[in-house]
Amino acid sequence: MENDSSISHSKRRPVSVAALWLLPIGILLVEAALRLMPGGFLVRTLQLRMHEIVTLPAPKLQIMGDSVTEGIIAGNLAKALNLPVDQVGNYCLPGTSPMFAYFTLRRELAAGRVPGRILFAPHPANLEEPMVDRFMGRFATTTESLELLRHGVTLPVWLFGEACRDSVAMRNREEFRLAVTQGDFGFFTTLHKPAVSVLNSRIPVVQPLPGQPLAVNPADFPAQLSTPFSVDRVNAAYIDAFCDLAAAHGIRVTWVTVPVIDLYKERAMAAGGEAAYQAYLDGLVARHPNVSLLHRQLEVYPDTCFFDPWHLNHYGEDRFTAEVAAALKAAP
Amino acid sequence: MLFNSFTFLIFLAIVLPAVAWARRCSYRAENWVLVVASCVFYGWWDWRFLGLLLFTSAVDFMAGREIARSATAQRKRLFLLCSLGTNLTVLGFFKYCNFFEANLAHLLKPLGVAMPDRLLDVVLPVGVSFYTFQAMSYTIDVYRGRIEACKHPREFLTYITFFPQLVAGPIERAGEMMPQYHRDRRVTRADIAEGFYLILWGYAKKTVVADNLGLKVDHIFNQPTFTTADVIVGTLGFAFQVYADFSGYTDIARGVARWLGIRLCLNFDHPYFSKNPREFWQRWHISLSTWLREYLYIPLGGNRLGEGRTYANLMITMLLGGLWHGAAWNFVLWGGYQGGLLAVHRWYAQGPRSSLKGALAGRTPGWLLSAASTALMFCFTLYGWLLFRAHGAGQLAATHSALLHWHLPGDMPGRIAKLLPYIGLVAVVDTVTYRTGDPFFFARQRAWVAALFYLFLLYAIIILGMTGGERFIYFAF
Repeated sequence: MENDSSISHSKRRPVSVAALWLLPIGILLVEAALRLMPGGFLVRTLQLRMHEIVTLPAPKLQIMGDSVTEGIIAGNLAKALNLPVDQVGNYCLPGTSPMFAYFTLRRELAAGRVPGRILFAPHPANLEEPMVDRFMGRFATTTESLELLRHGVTLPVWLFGEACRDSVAMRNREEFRLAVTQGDFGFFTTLHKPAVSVLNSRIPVVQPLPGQPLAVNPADFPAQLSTPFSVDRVNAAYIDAFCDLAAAHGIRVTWVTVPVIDLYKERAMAAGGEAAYQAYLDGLVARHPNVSLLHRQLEVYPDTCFFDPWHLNHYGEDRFTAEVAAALKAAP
Repeated sequence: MLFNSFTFLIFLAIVLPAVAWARRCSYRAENWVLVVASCVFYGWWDWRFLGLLLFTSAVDFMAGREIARSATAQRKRLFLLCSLGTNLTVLGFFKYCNFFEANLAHLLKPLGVAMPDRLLDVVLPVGVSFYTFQAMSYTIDVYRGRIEACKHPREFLTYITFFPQLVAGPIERAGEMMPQYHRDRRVTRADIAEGFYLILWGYAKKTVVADNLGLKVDHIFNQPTFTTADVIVGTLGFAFQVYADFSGYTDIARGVARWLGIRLCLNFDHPYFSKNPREFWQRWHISLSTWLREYLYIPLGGNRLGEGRTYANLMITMLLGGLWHGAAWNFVLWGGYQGGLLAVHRWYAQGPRSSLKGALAGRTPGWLLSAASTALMFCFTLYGWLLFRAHGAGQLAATHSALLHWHLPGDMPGRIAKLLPYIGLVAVVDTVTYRTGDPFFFARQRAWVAALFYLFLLYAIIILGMTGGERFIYFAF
C-alpha cells in the first residue's frame, strides 16, 4: 500500500517515538522562556485601564469602545460641555470587542462605581468579530471565561481561547506573526513603552492641523474592513447584556457611530450593509429603553482625518469630538 | 468539517478513543464506529448531502453484489451500467449542471433566446468527485473480477465514507482498502509516530505555506491588470500554494488514517522534481492519475491501437481529467495542455531524445542534464498552473498579454523573496526527503533532533499559520 512506511524501510532507524515525549517538554521550556518577556503594550494598557476603572471615581460621562473610540478626546469634550475635566473619561480598550465593554462595566459596578452616562462608540467592523481568543487570552478571569459558553460561544472557539490563556505564543501570535512576516518589530519595541492611562484622554488637545491625505492602496485595504457588514451573534448577545446591565443600574447608554474612511463605506456598507447597520441600531433602541442614538448615519471623513484605515489622526479626533459635543448639547 | 479547524481536533479527540474502544470488540464494531464518525464528519458540512452519499453507496453496494451473483455477462454489464449511470448522473448534475446551463445560455443568446439566470443553481456537494470515482472503481473492479464483491454494507460504507479521505482523497481502490476493513487492525507505536509526523507536516503545509501564499496569490489575481512580474510571482506562489494545500490535506488524511490503523496510498511524491510530464503524473495526485489510466486511458485502448490513437487517448484522458477538477473552461484548457505535454513527450521519447542524448553524451555532466530537465519541466508545470488559476478568458488574455510584453522591473527579486520563507520550508523538507529517499527523514533522527523539528513546525503553525479555517483548494473539486 504505502511505499513510504516504516515496514518498507526496515533497515533504516525507526521513527523516533521518544520525540513525541520530548515535544511536550520542549513546549513547556519555550512557554517558560516566553513568560520571562514583559507583557505587550496593549495588554499592559488593558490591565492599567482596568485597574483605573475600578479604582478611580466613576465619571459623569464615560466613553467606551475600542481603539477607534480613542478619537473622542475626553478633555476636549469636557471643555465643550462645560464639565469639570474629571467628569468625562475615555475608558475605551484598544483592540477589543463588545464583550470587553460588558465585562468592564460589570467589574466597575462590582467595585461600587456607577457612571452617569455611557457613550458607546465601537467601530462597526468590530461588531463582526467577537475576539473571543483575545478576550480569554488577555483579559478574562476564569469565571468570566466560563460564562462565555452561556452566551453562545461555541466549544471549539472557547477551547481555542483557553489555549490562548495558557500559551504565551498563542496569545501573542498576531504580534509575533507581524514580526516574522513583515519585519514589524513594533510589538517588541513597545515592550518597555509605558501603558497609556485613561487620565491621558482628559488632557485637552489644542486644535491641530489637517493631516496629509492617507495613501490607501485599495488592494492592501484590510480584509476586515472589506467584508460586508454583519453583527456576530456573540457580539449582539453581549451588547444586549451590556445595555441590560446599564439599565439595571439606571445608566443611560448613548450609541455613537464613529466616522469611517470612504473605502470602508464603499466596500463593507454597500449592498444593504448600511441599512443593516441602521436596522440593527433601531432594533437595539427598540429593545432597550435606556439606549439612544447620537449618530445613526454612517459619516465618511476625508482621508486627511485618518492615520490608517481605521483610526482618526489628531485633526480627525478634534473634528469628531467637536461634532459629538455639539450633538450632545443638542440632544435632550 | 475542515481538518484545519478546532472543531476537527475535538472531533478527533472523541473519535480516536471511540475507535480504540471498539477495536477491543472486533473490526466490525470498529467499522460501525468509523461509519458513524464519517457521517458526522460529512454531515457537519451539510447533513442533507449525507443522503446523497448514502444513496449512491447503497446503489453501488447492491450493484456490486448483483454483478458478483449474475451468471451472464449481459446481466453483469447491466448492473455495472446501473452503478456507473448513477454515479455519473450525480456527478454530472451536481458538478456540471451550472456549467452547462451557463454555456447553453451563452450559445442561445445570439439566437435571441434568453435563459433566466441560474435556472437551477445547484450546490456542489463537497467531495462528490472523489467519492463517486472511488465507488465506480469498486463496481468496475468487481465486474472485471479483480476483487470480490463486498458482502456486508458495513464494510462497504466504511470504504466509501472513511472520513480522512472522503472529501479530498486520495481516491482509494477497493482492492487495497477492503482487505484492511475485513480484518482486526492494530495501531503500533510506529503508526502513532509516523501518523503524528504526517499530521504535523500536513498542517504546516496547509496553514503556514498554502494559506499564506494564498493571500499573496489572491492579491495578485484579484487585480484588473497584470505586469510580467505579477504573472511570474503569482504563478510561482500558486504552484506552491496548490501543492502545499493538496499534499498537506493528503498528509493529514494519511496520518489520521494511520492512527486508525488504516494505510492510505501515497498521493504526492515530490512532483516538482519530475524531469518530464510522464514522471510528473506519476508523482502528482497519483491516485487520480492511476484512476484515469486504469479506468479511462486503458479501456479507450491505451497505446495498443497505434500511434495516432494513443495520442488521441492521451488527449481525451487529460481533457476529462481537467474537467474533473472543475466545471470551467480553464480546467479543460489545463487538461488539454497536460495532454499535449504528454503527447509531445511521448513523441520526443520515441525519437529525438535518443539522438539528443547521443549528441550530448560525454560532453555534458549527467547531473546538469538532470537539473536542466527538472527546471524545464518545472517551467512547463508553472505555465500549466497559470491556465489553472486564471479566472475566465479575460484574465487569461490579460496574463498572456503581460507575458508577451515581457518586462521585469527591479523589485521583482524582492517580491519573490517575500514568497521564499513559505516556498523555502516546503522546498527544503522536500529536497531532503527526495535526496534521501526517506519521507520520514526528519522523524527518524535522534529523539531530540526530531523533537526540535516538531517544535519548530508547531510554533510555525501557531505563529505563522492562518487559523481562520481556510478551505482546502481541492474541496472545490
